[in-house]
Amino acid sequence: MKDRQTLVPIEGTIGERSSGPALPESVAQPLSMIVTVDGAARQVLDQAQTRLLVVGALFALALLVVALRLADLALFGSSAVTARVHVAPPAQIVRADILDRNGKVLATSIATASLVADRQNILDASDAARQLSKLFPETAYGELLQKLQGKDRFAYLRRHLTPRQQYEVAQLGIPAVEFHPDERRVYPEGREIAQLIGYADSDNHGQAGIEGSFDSFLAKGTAPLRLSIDIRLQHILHREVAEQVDEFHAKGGGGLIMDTHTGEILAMVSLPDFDPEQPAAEPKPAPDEPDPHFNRMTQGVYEMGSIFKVFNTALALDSGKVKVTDYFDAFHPIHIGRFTIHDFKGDELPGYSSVAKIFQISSNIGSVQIVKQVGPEAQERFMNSLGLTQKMALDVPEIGTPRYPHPWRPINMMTIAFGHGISVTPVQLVSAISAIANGGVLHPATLIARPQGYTPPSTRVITEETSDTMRRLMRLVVTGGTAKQFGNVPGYLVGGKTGTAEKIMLNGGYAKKHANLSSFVGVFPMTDPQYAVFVTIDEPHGNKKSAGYETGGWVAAPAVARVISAMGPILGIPPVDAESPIIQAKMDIDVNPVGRHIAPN
Amino acid sequence: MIRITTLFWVALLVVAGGTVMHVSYQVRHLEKHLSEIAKETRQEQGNIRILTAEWETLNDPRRIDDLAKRYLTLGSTPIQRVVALEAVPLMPTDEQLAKFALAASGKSAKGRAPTKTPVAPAMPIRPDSPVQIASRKPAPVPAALSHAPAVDPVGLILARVERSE
Repeated sequence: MKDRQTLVPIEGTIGERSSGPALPESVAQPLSMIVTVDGAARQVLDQAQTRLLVVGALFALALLVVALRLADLALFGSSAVTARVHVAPPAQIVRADILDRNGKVLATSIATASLVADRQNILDASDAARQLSKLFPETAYGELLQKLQGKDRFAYLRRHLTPRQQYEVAQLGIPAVEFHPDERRVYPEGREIAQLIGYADSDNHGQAGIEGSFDSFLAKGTAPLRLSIDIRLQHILHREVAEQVDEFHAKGGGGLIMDTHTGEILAMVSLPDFDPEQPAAEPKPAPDEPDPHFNRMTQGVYEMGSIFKVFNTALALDSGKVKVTDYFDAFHPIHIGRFTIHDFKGDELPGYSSVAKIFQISSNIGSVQIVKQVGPEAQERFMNSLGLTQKMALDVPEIGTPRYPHPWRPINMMTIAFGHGISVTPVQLVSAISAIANGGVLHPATLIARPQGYTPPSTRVITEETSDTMRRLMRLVVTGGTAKQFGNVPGYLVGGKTGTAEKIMLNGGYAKKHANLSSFVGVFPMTDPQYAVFVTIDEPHGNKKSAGYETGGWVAAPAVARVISAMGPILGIPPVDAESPIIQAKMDIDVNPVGRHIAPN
Repeated sequence: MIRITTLFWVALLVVAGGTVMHVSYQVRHLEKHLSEIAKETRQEQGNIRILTAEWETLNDPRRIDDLAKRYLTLGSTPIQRVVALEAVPLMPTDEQLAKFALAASGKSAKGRAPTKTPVAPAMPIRPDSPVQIASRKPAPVPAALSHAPAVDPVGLILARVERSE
C-alpha cells in the first residue's frame, strides 16, 4: 500500500509533531494544524475511513433501491398496489343465510333496533314508562318502570322494534332511551321446515337443527349455506302429511323425499311442528303426546314393519339361495317358543306361494320361511351393510341410534324378516330402500346440496340383477298388492312397499288398539328410480274413507301418491304409458311361475 | 452560483410541500366520501336483506297455495301435460307441407267423399281438468287470514317479529 499523508484538523496537539516547515502566522485557526500521522494512529484513521466508505455505500444502495421502486411505481404502476385498495366496504358481520337447493331463503338475518334505557339520562322515569306503555300495550307499565329504575345503567326495554315503532319512540323524545343496532333471525318458511332448520336464540346462537350443527360456520357470515332441500317439494310433502294426520286423527306423522342417486334429502317433514321464530311458544306436551321439537325423521327410531320385507327379499335373492320363482309355505303359522307368527286376517295365502306373491301380499309367514334359507348371520351382515345398525352421520345434531338385537338369534331373524325387533330412523330406511331400487348402490344421506357433477360416495350392497328384480316386485305391490288402492299414480311408474307396525309401548310390549305406525315408501319412476318418497302416520284411526283400515296401504300410500303426482310436473318428469310393451317388459314379473317348492325345515 | 442552487432547492421544497398538503387534503376528502358510501352501502345491504326476507315470506309456497285456492280457479299441472322435449314433433319441412297440400287437394278434387269439417281431437275431460275446476267455488276465507296484512314498509316480517316479543 502506498504511503500517504493524512490531513487531520486537530485541536491541541496529538501525536508527533511533524518536522516540516513552521506554519505561517496568517493561518486562521491557531489551534488547528495540519498534521501527518503515521504508525498506530494512521492505522486507526485508515480503518475509520474504510468503515465510513462502507456505510456510505450501503446507504447509497438503499437509496438507490428506494429510488428505483419509486420510479417503478410512478412510471409503470403496479397491479399489486391497486388490488389492495378496497373496493367494497366491509359489511357488518351478520349470520349467514340458509338457502334451499334453488337458492330460496330458508333462514336469514335482518338488522333491527332494540330499545335500551340509559338510566344516567333519566329525567322522569314514571312519565317515560307511561308514554312507552301506551306505545307497547303488551308490556305492562310496572315492568317498564322497573326496568327504567333498575340498578344497572343499561337495560333492554324491548328488542327488535319495527321501523314504525322506532319512529314513534323517537317522536316521544325521551332522553333516557336509545336504540342499539340488533340482528334478528327470520324464517320465511315458518313451521313447514322447523325441526330441520332449527332456530337461533335471541343472541343469534344456533340451538337446534342445521342452525345448531352449523353454528360456527353461519356465525362467520362469509357464505350462505345451501341445503339439498327443495322448498316446493317440502311444501307439498308437508301439506299431504298434514292432511293424512287430520283425516285419520293421528298423533303425528312424517315424510321424506330422497334423490336415490345422490342420497340428497329433498324434503323432510315431521308433525307436529313448531314456529321457529317463537320456539318456546308451544305449550309443553303431555307425557304421552308427541313433542313438536322432536324430528321423527332423524331422531325417531321405529320398527318399520313390512317395509323390511324389501330387505328380506333382496337378501334372500342376492344370496343366491332363493330364486324369485321358488315357492314357500305361507299358510301354516309358525310357532316358536310361546310366539306364533301369522298373517293379517283376510290376507292369508292358501298354501305354497311364490316369492313374488309373498312380497305382493306381504305375508309374514312366507317372509320368515324365505329368510330361514339364509340364516341370522347373513341377515345381520346385510343389515350392517345397509347401514341400518349404526348411528348414521347426518348434518343435524338430532340423530337417533338404531336398536337391534344382540345377540342376533334365529327368533330375531324371524321377526326382523317382517320388520319387528329392529328399530331404525326413517332417513336410514329410505337410504337403504334407495340403494335396493337404484341398482344396488348405497349413498349416505345428506342435507347439504351436492355440487353439480359431484360423485357421491357409494357402497354396493346388492347386484344389479337383484335390484332389477326388486324393482319389479316393488312395482307389483302398487299394481296388484297391498298398495293397489291408492299407491298408483297414472302416468308415473311408482313402486313401493307398505308397512304397518304395531308400536312398542313404554312397558316393552305390543298391542293397543289404534297404536300402529302406518307407512309407505314409494319409488319412481320404477324403470330408473330417481326419487324415493316416504310417509308415515303415527296412530291413525281408521274411518269410512279407509273402510276402517289403518294400514300403510290405506293411510300412507294415498299421501305418497298425491305427493308424487304433484312433484312430478314440478320437476318436469314426463309421464310414460304403463301399458307400452317396452315398459311391460321392464316391469313384468310372474307371480305364479314354474318353480321348486321349498318345504319348511 | 450557490445562491441560485439554494433558491432552486428552496422553491422545489415549497412546491413539494404544497403538493403533499394538497394530496393529503384530497385523500382526507376522499376517505370521508368513501366512508359515507360505505355507510350507505351497509344501509342498502340491510334493506336488501329485509326486502329479501319479505319477498321470501310473501313467496312462501304455503301462502301461495292458500291464495291460489282462494282466488284462482287453477289447479296443479296434470301429469299428462308434461312432455319430454324429444316427444315434441319437429316442424314439418316445406317439402312435407307441399306433399300434404297436394294430397289434400287431390282428395277434395275427386269429391267422392263429402269433406268433413276438421274437428279438433276430442279432449278427454279429466276430473281435475281446469274446465271442471273453473266451476268450483273458491274456498271460504279462513278467519285468521281474512284481515289485510300490515302495511308497514317492511311489513309482514317485522309484524311477526313484533308479535313474538
